Amino acid sequence: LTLLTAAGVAATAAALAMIFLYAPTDDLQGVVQRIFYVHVSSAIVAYVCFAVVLGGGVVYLWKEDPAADRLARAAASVGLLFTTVTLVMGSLWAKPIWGAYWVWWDPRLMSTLALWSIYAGYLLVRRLAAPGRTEARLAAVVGIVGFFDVPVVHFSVTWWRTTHPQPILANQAGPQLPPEMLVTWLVTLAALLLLGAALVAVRYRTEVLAEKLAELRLAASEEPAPVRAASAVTSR
Amino acid sequence: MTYLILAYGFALFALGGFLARSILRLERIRAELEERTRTER
Repeated sequence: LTLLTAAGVAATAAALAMIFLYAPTDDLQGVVQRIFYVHVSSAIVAYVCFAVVLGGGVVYLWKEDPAADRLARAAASVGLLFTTVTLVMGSLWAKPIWGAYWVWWDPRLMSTLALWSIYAGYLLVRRLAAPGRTEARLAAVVGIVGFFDVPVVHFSVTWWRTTHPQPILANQAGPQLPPEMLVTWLVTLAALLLLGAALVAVRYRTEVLAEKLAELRLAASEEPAPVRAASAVTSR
Repeated sequence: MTYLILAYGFALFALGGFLARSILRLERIRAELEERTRTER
């Protein structure tokens, strides 16, 4: 776990060095185009996390495996984090290029905001539902249904007219980027995937230990009262 | 340049903060678990 976390942090630092020192400056947009590397990669890491939530939910409903539920819960919070990064970085990129932080009713922006709300709702369900089986089952259903928004977000730029640009990487004619930019983006994507995996692993481990601790606390609270206290009551 | 700094500042704050908080929570739970296990023994 420590090794994975260290690798994730080191890879992210290396990717940042490439973004600022190796990647060329865009002729049209200038330095602000460098937001692209983390903005797009974060969105992909969020998709992967939500796919894990979907998988975890399906396995939990099928086999009632608590490990699958734990994994889904860990991946949901990490996916929400990366969606937040995508939205905020996108807004800060939009301001100098489009002249506005946010374009209301743009399908890509609104479907991404919906995605954020769905997984924020997922975590809220986990917090508000009765703990245990009910919470896990409800969350699994939200996680499975919520994943339907992922392809909507991804294809929104091709299905509808949007202010958001068309895909330049998953393009039919191949990636529309100079090689240095493409390499930098690939390194950033790999680094953020590694960091995302480390975050999910840390959260998963925390869940395991928190459950053990809760069991110990419960066992301690169910122990019979100490003999001295009992005798004090009877002697009164 | 301002927007670039703001964007990367936010990304580092969010990712770094999340990682730090997650590790701190893990360590706190691990320490409490060890403490309880030691007391039980």
